[in-house]
Amino acid sequence: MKDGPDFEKSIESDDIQTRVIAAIADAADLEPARIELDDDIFVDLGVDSLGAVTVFVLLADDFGVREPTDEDEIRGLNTARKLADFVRAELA
Amino acid sequence: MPSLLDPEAVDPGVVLPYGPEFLFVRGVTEVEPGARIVTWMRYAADDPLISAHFPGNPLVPGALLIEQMCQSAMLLGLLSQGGGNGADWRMASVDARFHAPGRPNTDLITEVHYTSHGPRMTGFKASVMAGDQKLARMRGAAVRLDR
Repeated sequence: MKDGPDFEKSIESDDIQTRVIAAIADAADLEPARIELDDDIFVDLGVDSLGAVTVFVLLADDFGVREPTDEDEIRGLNTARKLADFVRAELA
Repeated sequence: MPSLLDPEAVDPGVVLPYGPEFLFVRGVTEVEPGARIVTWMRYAADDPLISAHFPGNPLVPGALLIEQMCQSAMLLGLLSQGGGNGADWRMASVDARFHAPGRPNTDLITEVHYTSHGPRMTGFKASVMAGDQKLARMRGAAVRLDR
């Protein structure tokens, strides 16, 4: 996890990344500024399986992206960076 | 299994996995599988849950309005998959707002719309109305678990 104005400034330039982090923050009950791009959302941030559902539903609502196909894909999308890349790939 | 073309034939007590004491949807007036549902609930003034909340000034507890919306969403989910074919639904998140108190002897109408609907994960918006007055609204996320 990380705080600091530089980090906040960098994510505000990317709407997808910002919204991904907001979804993770909601599920993890943390301030968005405390979430680092490569934090493992399950291990480092304590998001559980229902929290992951919250993240993916928020992303589906916001961006219209599909839900992950199986548990392996969910477990693989375990950082803000990977989730943002997933959204970008789905929107491409 | 009830006909999806005849919402009034849907018996929530048959479709939902709850006993009668925990059933907070009485009937269905509209349903579009995979998209939306309209349901209703009505409490009698002497319903013990209502008369105790509060004695002399009975109000429908906000928690029950939320449960009504969540059960309506689950009902839509189960009807959308064919009437409850061996799956359970679990709520993952609820984000609710309350606008006005609900009273007994009033039809409490819930409308649920899916905001996203995948094979297992579902997002939805719901509201409870009494006449023209909105009592509560919420957004929710739920997941289907195969038994």
